[in-house]
Amino acid sequence: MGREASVGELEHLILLAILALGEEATAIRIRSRLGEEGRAITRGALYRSLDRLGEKELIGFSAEEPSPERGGHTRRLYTVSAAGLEVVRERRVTLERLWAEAAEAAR
Amino acid sequence: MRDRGERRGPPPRLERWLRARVPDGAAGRDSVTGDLHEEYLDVHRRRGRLTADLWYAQQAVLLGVPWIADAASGRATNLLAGLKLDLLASLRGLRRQPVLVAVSVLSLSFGTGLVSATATLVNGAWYAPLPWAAAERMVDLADTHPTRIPAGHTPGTSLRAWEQWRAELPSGLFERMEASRRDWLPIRIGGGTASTLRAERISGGYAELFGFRPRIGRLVSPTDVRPGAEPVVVLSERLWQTVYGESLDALGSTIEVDGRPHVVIGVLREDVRAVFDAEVLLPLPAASPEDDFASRGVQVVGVLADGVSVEAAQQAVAALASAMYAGAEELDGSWSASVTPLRTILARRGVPATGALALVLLCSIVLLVAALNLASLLLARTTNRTRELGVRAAIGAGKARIARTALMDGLILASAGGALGLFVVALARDAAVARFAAEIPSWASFPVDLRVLAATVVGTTATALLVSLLPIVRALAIGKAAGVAQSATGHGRRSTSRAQNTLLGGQIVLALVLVTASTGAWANFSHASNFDRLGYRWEGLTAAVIEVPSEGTDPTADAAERLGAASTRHPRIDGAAVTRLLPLVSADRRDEGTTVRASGTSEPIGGPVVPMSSRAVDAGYFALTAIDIVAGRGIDATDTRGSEPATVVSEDAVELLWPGRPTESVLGETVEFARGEVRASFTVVGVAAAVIDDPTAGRGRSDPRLYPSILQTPEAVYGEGQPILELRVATSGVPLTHDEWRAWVPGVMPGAGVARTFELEQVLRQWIQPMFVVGALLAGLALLVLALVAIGIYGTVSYRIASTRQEIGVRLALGADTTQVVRSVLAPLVRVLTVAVTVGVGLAIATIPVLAAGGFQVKASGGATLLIVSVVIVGATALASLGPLRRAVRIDPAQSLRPE
Repeated sequence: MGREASVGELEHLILLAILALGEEATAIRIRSRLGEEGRAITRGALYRSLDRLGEKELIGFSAEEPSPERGGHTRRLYTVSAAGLEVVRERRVTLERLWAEAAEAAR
Repeated sequence: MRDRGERRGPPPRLERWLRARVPDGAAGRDSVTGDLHEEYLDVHRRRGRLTADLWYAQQAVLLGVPWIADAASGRATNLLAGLKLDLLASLRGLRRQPVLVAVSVLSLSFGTGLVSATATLVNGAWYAPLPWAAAERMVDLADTHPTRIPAGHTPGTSLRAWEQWRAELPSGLFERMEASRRDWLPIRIGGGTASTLRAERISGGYAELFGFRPRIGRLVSPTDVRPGAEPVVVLSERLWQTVYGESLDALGSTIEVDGRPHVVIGVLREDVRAVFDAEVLLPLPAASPEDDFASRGVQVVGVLADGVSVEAAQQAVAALASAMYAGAEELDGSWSASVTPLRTILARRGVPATGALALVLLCSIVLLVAALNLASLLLARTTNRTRELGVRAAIGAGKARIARTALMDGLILASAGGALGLFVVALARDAAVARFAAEIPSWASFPVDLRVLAATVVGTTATALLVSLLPIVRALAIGKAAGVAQSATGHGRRSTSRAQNTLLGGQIVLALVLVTASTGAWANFSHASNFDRLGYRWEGLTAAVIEVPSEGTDPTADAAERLGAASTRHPRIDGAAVTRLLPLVSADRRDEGTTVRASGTSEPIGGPVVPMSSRAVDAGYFALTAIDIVAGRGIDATDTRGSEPATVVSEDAVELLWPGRPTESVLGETVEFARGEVRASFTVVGVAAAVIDDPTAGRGRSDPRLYPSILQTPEAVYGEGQPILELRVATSGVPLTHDEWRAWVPGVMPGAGVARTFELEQVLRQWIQPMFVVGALLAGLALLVLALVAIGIYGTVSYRIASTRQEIGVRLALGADTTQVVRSVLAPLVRVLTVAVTVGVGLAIATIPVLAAGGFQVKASGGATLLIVSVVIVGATALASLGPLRRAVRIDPAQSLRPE
């Protein structure tokens, strides 16, 4: 994976949200965190993106014990994998470079 | 009942439904359901259960539906991949059996090819667009009579009726009506002699309705048919070329038509002439006082107004016609009129319904035999794949998957056969259209279009399903047993054998029917090609059709005398006879033709079908043609002008003219020919043996004839037009060539021309050509079907021996001799043959009338034919069984008992 894995804007934001939420990155919180940033997304879009990120091996997850408030269902806590981190870093470098060039040009 | 108030989580059914839809990816089936559960509780707390339930249902649908779509698309991808795998597996399997593939594809291509060809024909006649703008609303209006007009015939109507229909039918029924009438008219161009040419008289808008265009000048227009209009004529392109050398001077020149000068206003294009086959176009005249309702021959075409049905038009036309005809003296009370779509009439002429039916029947038989044969082979192949299918079922292949595996072989073979058949038909179409160009009506086109393609695809698919039905059933049975309980040598093989027997029996029955039909058709052809039974000499006779100038009072008698005398002086002519046909009355045109009345009777002979022909002959006729005189004498040298007019009648004509009278007793009776005001009475001087004009006519039929003396027949009895005589001669050695005739005739008769020459034998052979084609086609089909049946028998016997290899081995090891082994293998086959041949013979006897009605002239075959056919089938069985049986008795017991 690594370099060749390409991510869309939404997937990129989800990766960042997981990193931002640290050890509390559940699907509900990721969605609500993105909502706070003005990027409200549907549940379907979120779960599909998580599936895709999982297929690209950019995220991993651990499952909490089932609880009564979840109707006996488990909860997944998402983490960004090393490959995911690499993708996010690269994206950041690219963005910073472009910002710098844009600022230079604007001056 | 459970208290709904106690439920704390989301609706459990909905939750289960959602859970089943979520894929188990990174989002996680359990986790997604849990997330939604958690949020449901939150909504429930804040806004109550009802809102929470509704909220949950909405979320479940929004989440679930995209996943359902994903799953469906995944299943479709899987299905395609599975089909590809099945296809490749099937192709690999079939590659190992090239003979089976070749035989199956070829036989199926023949069957589907026949289906495509029939579809092309029927499509061309019934569905391909007609070349006229309003074609589908065009109808033919014609008189009808319950007994005088045979079903399907359109005798047209009279000028009087046409004018009355046009004037009195309710407005709004027809957008327009046009009419035409065919005439044979004497036409004189320049100062030469008049020739009788075919003319089409048309109403003012006729040319425009059918989109005819002139080559030069203009065509007949509405102004030309008005009373008092200047007589005009339009020439055919051919006439314009031969007479005017394509000169524009033709326009405005005057030619004499039927004794009256007509101005040439245009030339008709050659492609239009093909519709009419007329040499000149003339305006349709108005009805004269002499034209009564019985003077038919006017073809009326109406264009139905928008929204008017054929039935509505039919009612109105029939009502008016019945009222018109009720008081007419010249008609009996039963005449009326009917409306028929033009398409129906054209299609009826193009492909007679009965012929099409017989064709479809034959195609179906061949296709069915090919299909049964293939079904049998595929059934054996499926049974041989017991282990493979069992394994597939054991590792979880469902019913559909197993059935698909079995279907694939049939689908591949039928598709290949269908494609090959369609390809051959598409190729053969152009060749056939070119070969039969003269017989194909100009309005017909035979496109190999979407309809034909659809018929072929339907035929192919049906065949694939048919041939795969039993293999699928077999495969499913194998799948059910999962290859465990049912061993390959057990019940499975026995039921396969039974099914194969049935399929083989079916093939034999069909083969019997077809072979019987072809034997019958061939016997009919042989009968027709035996010209000796015709009753007249045909060998070594040549004839010339001679047009002689109509000068003097008796041009026919003059020409007969001169030609007869000159023939005796010709060094190469051994015998000669001069004859002229004397057209007798027909139902369509009461004013055209001559009626015949026998002495002692009051009614003249006539009717819808002319029962007799009449041929004026000279003194040489009976000697040359070797027609026997059974009583009295033939026409001889004493029957000249001035002596008492004499005629000879044929034996069968005696029966028509004086029913029940002994042949000799009619000598001295008289026959009166009448045409208009002219009457000519002839004394019967002799009775000739009956002859057959048409060699293809059914057995026991002959053609009654009158032979008046040509020198004593008044010219007016022949009707108007240029005399056309036939000079029939026997030559020593080489027959006279066409050029020799053309050089000799004008020397004898200045102004006479040779229209055509022919050898009698050649004409007879051409006549029976269609019978030969039908016979050969049927024989070819029968041979093909027999070959297919032989393959089927071979396959069945081979399969049986292969499947009972161990059993045979055990028997041989236990000391059974060859005869016993052969008997054990043959016994079931003999049973099948007995049943199949019995049923087949019965069915063949039942089918013969259907085939005969279909125009295939199959004679009702006697027991001999069926016996021969049965022997052929049994022989084919014996031949096909030979190889497999030889292998059976050579089986080494030790080897056959070795475990597989």
